[in-house]
Amino acid sequence: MALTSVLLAALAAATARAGEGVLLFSQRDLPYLITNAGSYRLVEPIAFFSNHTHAIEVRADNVTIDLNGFTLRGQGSLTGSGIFQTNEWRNLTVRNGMVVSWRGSERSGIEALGESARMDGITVLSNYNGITAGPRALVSGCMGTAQNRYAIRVGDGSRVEFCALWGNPLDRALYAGRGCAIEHCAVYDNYGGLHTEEAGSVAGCSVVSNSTYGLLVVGTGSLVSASAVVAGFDPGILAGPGSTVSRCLVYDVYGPGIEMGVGGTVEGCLVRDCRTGIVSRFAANIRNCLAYNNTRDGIAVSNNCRVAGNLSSWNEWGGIRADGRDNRVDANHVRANDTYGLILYSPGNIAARNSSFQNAFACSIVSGNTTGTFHSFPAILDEPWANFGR
Amino acid sequence: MKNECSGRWRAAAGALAAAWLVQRVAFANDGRIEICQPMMPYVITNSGSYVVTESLSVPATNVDAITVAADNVTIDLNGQVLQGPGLSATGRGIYQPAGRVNLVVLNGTVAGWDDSAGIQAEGAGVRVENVSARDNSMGIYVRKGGVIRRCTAAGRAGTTWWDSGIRVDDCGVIRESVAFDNAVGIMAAAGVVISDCTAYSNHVGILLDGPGNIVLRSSACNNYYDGIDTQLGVVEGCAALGSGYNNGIALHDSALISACSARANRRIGIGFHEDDFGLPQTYPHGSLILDCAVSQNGRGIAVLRDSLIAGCVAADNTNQGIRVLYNGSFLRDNLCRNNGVGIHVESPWLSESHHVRIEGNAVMDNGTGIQVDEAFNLTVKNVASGNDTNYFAVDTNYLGAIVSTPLNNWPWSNFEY
Repeated sequence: MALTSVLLAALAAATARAGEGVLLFSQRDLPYLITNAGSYRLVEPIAFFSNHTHAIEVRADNVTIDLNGFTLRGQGSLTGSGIFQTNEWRNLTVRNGMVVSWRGSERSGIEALGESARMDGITVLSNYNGITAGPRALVSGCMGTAQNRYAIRVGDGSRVEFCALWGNPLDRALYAGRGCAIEHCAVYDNYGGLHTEEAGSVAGCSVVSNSTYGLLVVGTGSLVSASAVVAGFDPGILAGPGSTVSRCLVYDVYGPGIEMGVGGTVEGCLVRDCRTGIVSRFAANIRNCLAYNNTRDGIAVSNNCRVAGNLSSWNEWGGIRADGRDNRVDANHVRANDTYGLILYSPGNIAARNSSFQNAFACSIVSGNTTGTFHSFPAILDEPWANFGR
Repeated sequence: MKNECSGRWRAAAGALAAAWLVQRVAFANDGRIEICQPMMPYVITNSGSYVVTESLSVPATNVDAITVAADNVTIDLNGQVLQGPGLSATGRGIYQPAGRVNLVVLNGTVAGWDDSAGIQAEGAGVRVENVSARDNSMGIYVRKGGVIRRCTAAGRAGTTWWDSGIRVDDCGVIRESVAFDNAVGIMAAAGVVISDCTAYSNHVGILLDGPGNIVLRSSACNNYYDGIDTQLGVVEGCAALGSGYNNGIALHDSALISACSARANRRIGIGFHEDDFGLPQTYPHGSLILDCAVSQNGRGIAVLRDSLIAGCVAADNTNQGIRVLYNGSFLRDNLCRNNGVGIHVESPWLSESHHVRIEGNAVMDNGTGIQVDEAFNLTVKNVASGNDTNYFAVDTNYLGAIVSTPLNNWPWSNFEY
């Protein structure tokens, strides 16, 4: 038996460095300092109890760590990070494992601050931050719950895809820097939802039952498409200036459904059971949208906006409201709203080719606006800019 | 790591058959805990990474093969089969009880858990990749927080309604997977993103049973009842073909459907459920349907009140290309060709289809181009040609003049030629 054990150990040591060229490591190597490029594989669960010390620190470029399905566990409070790399290094890949209980202040389960980190199939549980990655990172197929702050936070130019994040109770589940792409992620039942800084792209994401602190927030010049936001207290989608929100559904949000910044486009969106459906202060283009059954106005704009081709119905205030001037309200269909179909509170707007039916009143338009005459019957009407209503 | 599997090998090896042992130790040497047949049924009580070393089976019908009673567990099926006893099996292949978190299952087959599940995770945080689930009532079921990738689920015909090939209740990602011959191919409750999947020959292909689900770039083909069943969700870039009884994409509540194709479905390409008399059985008020193509269905698109339909093509449908019931919808810039009726506003049993706006559509070669059975609907700027009857509208409608040549002084005219 003893001979067998010795042989096993010897073979194990030999295999650790031969085999597939993968270097094996285990609990006894901790804290483990990696200073050479290469491929490393964990061979047992790790539990590392040492104040403010990282379990694995990578001081090299081009390192792959395969957690091999094992768990990298910290002691809870006062930890370093489970895996740590400063921004002096780059190309760290971590795959296939769980990272748990690294709750030292501002630390992370995986803190890969160098450029071009890659996280694949990682589950982060009960860390201060789950995954913190530097610029140009790729985070794919990861899950995260019960973090103190972010489940996933990535630097500029990163991509996060196919991740499921739920039950992170104190901050936003996913926070991305400038120029990031977030695709096909599910963000559910967190304190805050999904946040990108300027020039972000969010596509095919589901953001459901997050309480507040921004449900789906994108910075200046961003694109949000084919996404759904359901239930919460803030605006469903809060988009920075110059953004486009396209083919999204927002439902049951206590704040506005979509709040668009200056110079943005909202196109082909369905907004239902929110406070105000779609809101923009300045120079937005809102078209082909359906605002339905919201508790205030269906669509509300302030100045220099174009609102065209929308259907706004069953809202508890007005169908479409313009508070400021220089708005063009054109070819919309507004119906069964509790106050007015069209509301122009200030002079200097144009309202034409709209249809307003079965509202409490067809319209409320102060003097000084340019509006097509309201008619009922278009049969041989010779006014191309007429509105219709009764 | 010693266990029954490695102990068995050593006994068989006798006193060190060196080459053989090198191979075996190398395998054990990646630190994963081996699972083999003598350990069945097996309860995992420690977190860790486990690998199956041979095909496993459990003969008893009411026993779970592997119970994961620990957090943070990875099971690599290693290409092996976890075989259930077949008929009347109530045990599960892999079972994670409620309250547990973080389970990963990779690379293998779970089959023959006939009245139960191949993989059932009642806890949270489950990743399943490269797994084939066959001949189970439920193939892969995750209660909360799931990432399912590159899996197949082949069920048994005749399973109960809620049995699914792949099911994630809340918060998940299902991608690049295939489900066929199940009661429900793929099912999601709330907050699930389904992309690049195929649901074929199920009772219902993809069922979205709550709000905030998204289906992208997926195909639902030859399912019996509905192809995709949705409410308060987003369906984009999907194809629904050949539902034998009901709809290609069925709407149970408001939904956003864009850039989809629905073809050769028995009742409706995209729309509410209806009964044999055409009356609605679901009530999806306020739906948004953009840029879709519907063809060769009973009806192309059918919506209830306050829906917006724009940029769609409806062709070769037996009854209506686009059917509108009740008040207030907005139909714009659609093309309807060779349907029974191109666009039909009707109210089959209540006089409640008013204030629909029909504008800028092209209807051609239909029985009737645009038919408006109720009063007070606005029909302007449409073009009709080659229909048996181009326009039919009851009195008291807001109908633009019907002219055959454009007239500058009648800008709201409808054209026919």
